[in-house]
Parts: sequence; C-alpha cells; structure tokens
Amino acid sequence: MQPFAIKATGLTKHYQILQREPGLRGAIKALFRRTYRTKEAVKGIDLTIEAGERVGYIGFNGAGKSTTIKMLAGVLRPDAGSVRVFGLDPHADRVKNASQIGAVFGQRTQLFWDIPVQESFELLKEIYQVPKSEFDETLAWFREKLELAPLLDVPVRQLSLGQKMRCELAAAFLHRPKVVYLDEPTIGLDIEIKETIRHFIREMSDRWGTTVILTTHDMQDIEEVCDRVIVLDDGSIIYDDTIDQLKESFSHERTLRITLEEPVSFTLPTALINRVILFTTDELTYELAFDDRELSSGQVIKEIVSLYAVRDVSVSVPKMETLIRKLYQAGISA
Amino acid sequence: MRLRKYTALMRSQIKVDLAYTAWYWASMFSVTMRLFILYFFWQAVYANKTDVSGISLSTMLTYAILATMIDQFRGGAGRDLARMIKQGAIAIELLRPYHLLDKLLAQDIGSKVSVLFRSILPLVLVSILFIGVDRPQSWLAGLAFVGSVLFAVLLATLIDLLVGIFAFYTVNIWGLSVLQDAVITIMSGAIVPLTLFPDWFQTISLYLPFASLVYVPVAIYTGEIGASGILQALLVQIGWLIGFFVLLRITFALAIRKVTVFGG
Repeated sequence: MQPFAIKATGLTKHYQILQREPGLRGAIKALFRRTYRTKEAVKGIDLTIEAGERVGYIGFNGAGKSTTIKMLAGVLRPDAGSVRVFGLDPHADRVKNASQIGAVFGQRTQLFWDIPVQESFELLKEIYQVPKSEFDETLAWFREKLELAPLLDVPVRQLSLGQKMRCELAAAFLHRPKVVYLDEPTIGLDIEIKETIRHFIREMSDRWGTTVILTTHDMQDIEEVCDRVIVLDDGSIIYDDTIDQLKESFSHERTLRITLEEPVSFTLPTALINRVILFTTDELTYELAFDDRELSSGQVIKEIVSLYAVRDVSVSVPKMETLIRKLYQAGISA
Repeated sequence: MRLRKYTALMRSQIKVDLAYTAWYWASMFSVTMRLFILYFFWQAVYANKTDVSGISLSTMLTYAILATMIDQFRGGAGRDLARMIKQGAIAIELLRPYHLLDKLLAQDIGSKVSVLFRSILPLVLVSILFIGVDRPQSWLAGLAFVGSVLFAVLLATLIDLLVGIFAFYTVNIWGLSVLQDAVITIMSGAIVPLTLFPDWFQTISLYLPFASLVYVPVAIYTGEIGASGILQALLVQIGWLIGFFVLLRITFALAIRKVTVFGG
C-alpha cells in the first residue's frame, strides 16, 4: 500500500491559443500567418491526497480545475511536473492506471448513446474485467441506492438529465475504483437528485475507501461530501485545508439584520462604534457584522432597541457560500 | 482473458448497428437497388458489342458486383476517431483501460459483421437469383478470394484510421476524408477494373496500396490474376497490412501527446 493516493509536484499545463484578428480579414490572414498566445492553465501546483480522502476542488470557471483533473486522470500530458496515482504515472501507464480510476465528466456521457443502460453496464463489466459475482452484487446495490431499476432497459438518449447522471455515477463506481474524479456531477440537477448523488458518493467512499476528487460550483456539494477543500484561482492553489478548519476560521462571524419601524436616520450606538461594521440595505433595513468573541448578539440587539423602534431582527452564521467567496476575494487581492 | 473486452466491444457495436430498425432496412433496400442500377448500366454499355477491352459482359458484371460488395466494407473507424477528437469525447476514451486503436478496431470488426448481414447477404442472394454471376476461376481462386477480401477489409480500416489520426493535429479532417474517398474509389478499382485505365495509371497503382483494397481480391476471383500470381498478390497485401499497422501505432503514440480538451 502506497502512503499516498495522489501525489503531484510542480504540475503545469499550458495551451496554445490561436490569435485571430476579428472579421473576415482576420480569418483570411490567419490562413497564412498564425500567431499563438500561450495560456498557462495550471501553474506548477503541488498536491498530496491520502487514500480515502474526499477532496473538494473548487474555483471559478477557467481556473484550471478540469485541466488538473484531466492530468491526474492521464488524459492530458503535463508540460512539467509529475503525478503519481497509487504509484503509477497516469499518462505513461495510461491503460494500467485507467483500471484503478473512475470518472464522471458532468458535460460528457460515458455510456453508449444508442443502447440500453444495462447493456452499457455489461460492456463496462467486460472492459474493466469485473468478476460476475462482484458485478451482480454492485449492480443490485446501485439499483437500490440510485433507484436505477426503471432506467436499466431504456436507451441512454431517452433519459432525462437527472436519470442520466445517476447512471453515469453508477458507471463510474461500477468497477470499485480506488480513485474517482467527479467533474461537476451535479450540474443542472434538481435538489432531490443532488441529495441522492451526494449521499451515494459519501456512502461509496465510506464502504470501499474510495478517494474522491470533486469539482463543483455548488458549495452544498462540498459541505456534504468532502472533508477537505482545495481552492484554485488562475492556475494556482490559494487555499488547501480541511472543511472544519475552513469553517472554524470564519465561524465567529455573525451578521445581525434589523428592520426599523419607520425611516429615521440610523447611526451606530456609541458602544458599538469600531466593533461593528454597518451595511445599509435600504432606508429601513441595516446589516451589522461583528465577531462573537468580542460582542454577543444579545448585547448588540440591546444597544439598538434602546435607541430605535425595531420591527424585526435576525442573526445569521456564515454559510459555506460566503466563506468561499471571501477566499476568492482574498486570493484575488493577494 | 484480455481479449474478452474487445469481443464485448465488437458485440456491442453490432447491437448499436441493430438499434435503428428503419435505417437497417433502408440500407438493405438501397444496396439492392444499387445492384440493379449496375446491372442495367452494364447491359446498356454492352448493348451493341460483345466485349470491352477484351472483357465480356458476364465477367464485367461479376467484377462490378463483387467490387460493390467489397466496397460496402469501406471505412468507419477513422471517421469515429476524428469525431471523438473534434467533440472532445476522446477524454472519456482515454480514461478506459484499453488501447484506443484496438478498441476502434474491435468495434470496426463488429460493424463489418453487421455489414455482412445487412448488405452483403442480400447482395449475394439477389445476384445469384436474378442476375447471375460467374463462378470463381477455380476452387483455389475462390479460397484465395475469401482470404484476400479479409486482408482488403482490414487494410481499408487501417488506412481510414491513419487519416483519422490527423484530426489530433488539424481537428477537422473533412477535406482529407473526401480526398481519401475519391482516391480510393478510383484507384482501388471499385468502379471499373484497373485494366481499363491507361498503362501509366496502372503502373502507379502497382506501387500504391489502393489496388489491394478492391481490385486484387476481385481479380483473383475472376482469374485476371492467374493461379501463378495469387501468392504474390496476397503477399503484397500482407506487406501493406504490416506496413500500415506499424505506421499507425507510431503515429498514434506521437499524436496522443497532442490531446487538447478545452473546458468541460
């Protein structure tokens, strides 16, 4: 057993992008003389992921998430740096590595378009050389967990997005891979199916010790599935820590929202000045942000109701969504 | 067993081919129609003469029918490869524990089996029942014909794949594909026997692989390539097969590094 599931050092990938002047003139010019611009999609990142870890890999569109995943999976050859997945070089040992990994690329299907789902699974069974008994056991289990039973004899092209994604997920886990790459598996799905999928990923990973790398734009996915989060911005890692640690570092922030009875000029009570940040939403609604180690919500409320007529009050703790947005902003300004 | 995954791929390709019933019957119908068109065309050409360049009507019809049959097997795998590259599906393919070329080859064999039942069988039935074809020159020629057809079909697939690989570099290979089709149609002898072309053209064909695709097997059948020439003709086919196989592997290994899949 290797100490790490995935170890990457100095991983780099750049693309050549054809520069073309606009319009017909530019198009004709490009026929004779081509100029390329190099875009560094991934700029020398280091990663160490242990077996069984569930890692959320997030960042804006174009941050380099998919490119990284494709290098880890062996589809793309890194321009510099090295990757090992359970000791194998995924590009050089592509075929060998392929049998120990599974993947869902949210925007592409890996099932056979024209034939029923069941047949696609049977084919995957042969391709990954899954023993019959193991295959039957796994599939029986997936039928229940992903409610696949009514879908199995339907051709893939006739499935809805949610149905298709459940089948894709089953296909990715069918051969019980050691590592699963999930690139936006919940894109465009409704809440209920998202829930099913999140539960499924967690349960599979717990059961078989599968290492999961998940990219998504839905912070709920990260919160419910992952133990660790890596944030990528413009090709570099800007944050890498456990979810608990991330929450902890922001967990003392509170936001108090008050709505006044009538529009009056609102200023902070003297006791709160410099300890609270004030945001004005409209002439009746104000938001006050503070740290709960310095002030309690009760204190803040007391100070305000003693001076103003207040209709409504609510206190909120930070959400994952806000935490990540803060990280992005910190990363950009840094 | 390692081969099992490839036979499974082959079988699934047959299922895919059978998935669209209307298309299946339409292809069967259209190939049969083509046969009748050929028949009436050559009837008209021979209306006032007994031979064209020393070839009799029944030999010419036999040639045309067999050439049409072999031509049904042409192509497919290379176009699949090019489409995968263009649409980015290549990313999924490279995640699989198989060699992509072997997979395409296995699927191609599967679709050739479909072609056998969808096009060749009806062609054979119609030509025997309604048109009448000559028997092979000898039983040896008949046997060599079968072997030669197998080599020809495999060679056509390898050439097609080689053209498909260019999509790694150019993304779009439509133009190249059209050129390939045109060259093969004429230079393989799929329309008329190569012996009807001028001498210089025949000499060029001798040094190119295309004659091996249609002309060689049919000429073995009709006796244009006599018993003494059969062995040499088969060896030339095998030579081209080995050459293209090696070239294909090398080109693929180099091209795979060029994979670029943007976004998604």
